[in-house]
Amino acid sequence: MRRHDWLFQLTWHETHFVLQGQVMRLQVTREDYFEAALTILATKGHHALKMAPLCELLGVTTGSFYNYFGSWAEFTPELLAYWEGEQSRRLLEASNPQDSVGGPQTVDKLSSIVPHDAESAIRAWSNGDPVVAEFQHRVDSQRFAAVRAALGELITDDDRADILTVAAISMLIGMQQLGLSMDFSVFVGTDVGRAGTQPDEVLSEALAGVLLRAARSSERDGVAGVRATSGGRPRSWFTRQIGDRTG
Amino acid sequence: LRLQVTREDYFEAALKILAAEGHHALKMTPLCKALGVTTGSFYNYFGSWVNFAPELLTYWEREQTLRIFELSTASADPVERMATMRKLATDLPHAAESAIRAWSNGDPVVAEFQHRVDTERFEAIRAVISAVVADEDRIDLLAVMGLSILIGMQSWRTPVDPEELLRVLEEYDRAVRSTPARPTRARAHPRRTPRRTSKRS
Repeated sequence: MRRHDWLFQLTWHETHFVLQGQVMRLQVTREDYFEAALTILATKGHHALKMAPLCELLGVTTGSFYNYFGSWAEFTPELLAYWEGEQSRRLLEASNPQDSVGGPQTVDKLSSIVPHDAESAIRAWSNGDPVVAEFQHRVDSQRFAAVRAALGELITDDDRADILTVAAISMLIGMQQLGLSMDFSVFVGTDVGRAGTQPDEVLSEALAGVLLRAARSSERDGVAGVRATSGGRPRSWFTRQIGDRTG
Repeated sequence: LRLQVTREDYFEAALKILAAEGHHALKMTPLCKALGVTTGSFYNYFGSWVNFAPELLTYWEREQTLRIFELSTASADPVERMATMRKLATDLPHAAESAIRAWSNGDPVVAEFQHRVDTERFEAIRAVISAVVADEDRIDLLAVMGLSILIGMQSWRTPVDPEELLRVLEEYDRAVRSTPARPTRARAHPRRTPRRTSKRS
């Protein structure tokens, strides 16, 4: 809601009204609808994304919804276009060549800009819905291109750079599906790309860096990234990490 | 109409439907049609449609996860075990598995199976890696990475190209084997405890 601080300059009665005992908002933007929809996806999955809960979350009437989108069938492609547009915009910002440090950093930035919970739901939604699948595919392809371009600066073997890009994106998506948030910043502090490093050692170096940094950061602040708790059994560690997802 | 179908035939046909058309398409009529049997035959085996999903998922869990654990720990040679694991991971029914994962997003029963299979696979990968990497924390991280790579490939590279998956897993394997060994006793060193305490206070 930070974006809409200006709303608070208006009095409550200028932005809300009460209809049959329910508080309704007058001022919502299309973007508010999209962000609310992503929130529903993230918290309850794609089956829960319906008009009534969406309007309820925003405190608007379904009339407001129809005014903006005409019908529910028109809403979903617009939502997905919004999501794709946001991802492209952020990806462009993240892969700004001005401060490019290389592949691992791009993966790191990618990881930090992606709305993981909502994406997990969109990916499930795309299995069985060709329209959603098409959006999903396009977003994945853009990410592939961004990471591939960054890795290309480190690895001369094109074929190998492709495979490493697939590995990196897969890891990101896999973590997303598991509901684990992995701190890819652990990639950044490695000696990847330092003089004398063979290109084919890059992933190994990066992965080794992941471990080093994760171990350090978990010692430092106890939360960052994927970490094993000291003394905890691995089973309980893993179960705890993804346990919230499935109860 | 066929006279002789086994429970296994039902499960395999169901996995085929999942792979080809997704979990929304998995219904009794298309399943019986695919097998060329009457719905009576289905009821005879499973009683009701509600019973079928858990049995199917149990079959999948047993075939694709527990069996893998057995096979991958069969050899004593750690490098050979990693190669076996790679081969087994490549041969998984990827399309059906990605449909099951989508299915689990919104169905608590399926989610529970998915969670268990993920955990079992994590354990299997962990067991194989622990013979190669000494440090416990790193074993966990590497096992998560390996599992994530498999899940990620199934999620966005459908249909999975087995050759590509194998090459990705070879990169992973290389990363695992090049992980610098840290002495295990460093883990038990008391140095880490005061640090945590000071942060908390």
